[in-house]
Amino acid sequence: MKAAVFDYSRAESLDEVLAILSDAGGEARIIAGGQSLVAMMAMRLARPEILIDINHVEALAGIGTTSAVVTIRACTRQAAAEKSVVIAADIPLLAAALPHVGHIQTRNRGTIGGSLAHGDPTAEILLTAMALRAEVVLASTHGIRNLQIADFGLGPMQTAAADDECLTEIRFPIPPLGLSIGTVVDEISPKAGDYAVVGVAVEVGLDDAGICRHLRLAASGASPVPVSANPVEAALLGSTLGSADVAGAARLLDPLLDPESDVQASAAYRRRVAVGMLARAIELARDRALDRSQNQTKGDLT
Amino acid sequence: MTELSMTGPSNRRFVSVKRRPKEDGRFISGSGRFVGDIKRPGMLHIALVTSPYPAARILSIETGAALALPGVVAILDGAALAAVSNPLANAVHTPGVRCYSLANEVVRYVGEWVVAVVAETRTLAEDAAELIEIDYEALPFVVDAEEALDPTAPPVHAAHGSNVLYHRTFTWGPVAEDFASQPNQLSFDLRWGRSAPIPVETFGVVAEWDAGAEILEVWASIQMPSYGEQISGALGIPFNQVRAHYDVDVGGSYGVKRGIKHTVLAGFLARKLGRAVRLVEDRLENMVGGDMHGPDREFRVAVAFDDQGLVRSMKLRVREDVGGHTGRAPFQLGKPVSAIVGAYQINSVEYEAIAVSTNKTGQTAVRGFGMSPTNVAIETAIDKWRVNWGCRGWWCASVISSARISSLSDPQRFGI
Amino acid sequence: MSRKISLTVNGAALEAVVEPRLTLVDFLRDQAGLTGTHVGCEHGVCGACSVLFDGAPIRSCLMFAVQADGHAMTTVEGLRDEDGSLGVLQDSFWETHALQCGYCTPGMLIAAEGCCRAIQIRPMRRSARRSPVISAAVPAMFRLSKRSVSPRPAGVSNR
Ligand code: FES
Repeated sequence: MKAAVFDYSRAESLDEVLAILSDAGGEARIIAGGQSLVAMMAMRLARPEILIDINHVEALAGIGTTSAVVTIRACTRQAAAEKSVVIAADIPLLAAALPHVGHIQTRNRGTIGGSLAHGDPTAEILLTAMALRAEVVLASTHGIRNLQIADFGLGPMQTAAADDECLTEIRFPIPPLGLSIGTVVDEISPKAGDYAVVGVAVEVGLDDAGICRHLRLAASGASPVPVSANPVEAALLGSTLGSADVAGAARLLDPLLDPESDVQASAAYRRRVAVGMLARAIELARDRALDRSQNQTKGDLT
Repeated sequence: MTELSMTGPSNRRFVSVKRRPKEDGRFISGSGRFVGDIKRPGMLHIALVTSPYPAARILSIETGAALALPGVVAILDGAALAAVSNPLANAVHTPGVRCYSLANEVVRYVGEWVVAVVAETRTLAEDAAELIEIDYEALPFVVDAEEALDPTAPPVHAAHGSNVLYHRTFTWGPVAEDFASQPNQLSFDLRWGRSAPIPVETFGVVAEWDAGAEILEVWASIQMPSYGEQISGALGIPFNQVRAHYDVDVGGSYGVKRGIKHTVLAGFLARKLGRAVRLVEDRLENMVGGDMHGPDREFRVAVAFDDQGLVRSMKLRVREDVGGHTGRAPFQLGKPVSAIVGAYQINSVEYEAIAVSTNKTGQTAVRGFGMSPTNVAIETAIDKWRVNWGCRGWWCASVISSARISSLSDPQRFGI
Repeated sequence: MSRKISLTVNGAALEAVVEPRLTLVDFLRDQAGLTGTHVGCEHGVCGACSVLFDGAPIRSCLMFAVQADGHAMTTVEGLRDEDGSLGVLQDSFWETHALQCGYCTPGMLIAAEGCCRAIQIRPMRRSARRSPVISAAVPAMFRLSKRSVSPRPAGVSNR
């Protein structure tokens, strides 16, 4: 398991990255954390001619925020995002997802953008981005384009990024103010840190009366790319997320799914588990949101 | 019986005294010496080309491009190896079954080693391995042991004449009479699926031929006593010309690390090339065609009990799926013979052992050398018997354990 | 195509010429001669190859040595105290026999070392506390502050 020959180029600027990509005519690959790419190269499943190392491009790392959006630059380490107070406060769903990503040691190298660009259909960052309807920014020597995450992830290990494009940032919308937010990222996997067989991400926002005013849902592992569960969201917005309502609405996920059987689990199992896990996660997120609002009220009174 | 005095631990030097294991010092400081740490001057590295087919005839092997690569020293195929070495021993009489380190004429399972490439580095050897072109003619295959028993099934070792490598029935005591006289009987089927104990360190070996002393020096991830003997047998050199260095640390084994085919290959090449040769499996080689599969058995168990609930007689039929490489597997069925009644006192036993070839990865010895599946069969019989007799609910466990105790061998029989 | 790299390993500056496809673990073992770090899976699953990279634990089989140019690494050989005696974690692993065959132990030590460094800035997460590896290291972490090490029995070398 030794990689095939390649040439290595450590880029210092985004322009340099884009220039090499454009010259290489599809034979170059970007390496960020390399936590999936290097393993694939070791098995010679990936054999780029040129490896462009973006780990020293300062403009590609860091986390920024406006009132509506948190922007994470592509080469931001997962471990850095996990420790970020901005992400903990403003993208709580991503904060909940990150501990599920690989292991501490892979998160120390792995990046937010690298995980998305790799396009693993059960990756938790992609799942979160789908739930939150994040936006990605792609740059090339021709310019910049913004894509909705649903238009970016095309299938297993397939993204809309062209050969000469570099994913530069991901924009996550901040949940609306004034609501009490509860989040859950849950998955089943053979062991902790392993790829998820099925995963769900849920973000619930309740108003003071306990009515759901904000709901973001996605499921992975039962379709070629994670799906955002729009019909389920629509059915539950405006309700108090009672158990019966949640169980009924979660079934609306079913028609969106297109699972395949593999050595880990059958298609039927994936389908059933995705629906069941989604319902359970919505209820847990609701309870967390209620807990938060009660604590908030107590805080206000004292 | 000598009386044991129960004194405090203070007057003991070893027992019950908190001590630091002596060997840990080198492991916690990073100064262990595993096979991957062994370096010999001028050492060469092997990479393997493996079969993508469960059964196929090898039509041609094209090595020109690989040999032309700088740093590539030699390329060896199964025909060349078979011409000058003996088949690997499997400890059971299996006429016509000839397994070598490299597939000769036909491949019998996915991952079987077909060609060995020797180069100055492992990376170069892998580069060259990619350039080797092998033409195969796919053959019918069988991966189910029951199907393999059918005389019309594709033959895994054609020269053997059948897929049955071993079939023998052992009988101890009056089995037929005991079954006839006991109305309380129970029978069931039980499957022990293949297990794959995977040590964190794969198997590895470094071999070097000392031409002056005419000794094959071997450093390997091994602790098996008969290792040197099997190597010398396959290479056709006297046993006293193989020196295995048993002081190499072993990064886990669980019994699977036998490494015979690895060592015969590396040893042969080391002698032929006059240089040290290293073969350390990578994880792909290890998990597909290395030594890492365990027993794969189907049991039919019948037990006869007397009115006290004591097991009087037992019949065990076991069918082992050996896979395509005979390795150690057929012989593993023999191990339970020495402990066929487990811890119990059973009047009579019949044990029918059948080892069958299929087009799957071969097996090797795993933990207790094949005994565990038999223990499971015996213990399951005891459990099932009690449950069948209406023993359910919370008190079931205690009844089962008392059934076990009452069936256990009487210590006095052993003079205790 | 080979490149010159300069890096710091266990506090010592190193220069080397490497092919881009040489992984960091192969570099450390074969070129830097530090065979304490082991290879188990070569694809980032087992953790045997863990080293500290700029102070944080990573899998050295999932990096190329060229990428380490200008960075600092610590391997198991670098876990000793300045005076050359065993580090507290190493000593605790020994005292509690926190290993079986010892092959992955350098990776376990690096993981535990990384954990110790991390908890100095924030409390340990629950999942970390449940891990058997960490449970072996927990007494060591307490002792990191106290430095009270029980005496080694005579006749056992501190190699
Ligand atoms: S060798 Fe297994 S994680 Fe690197």
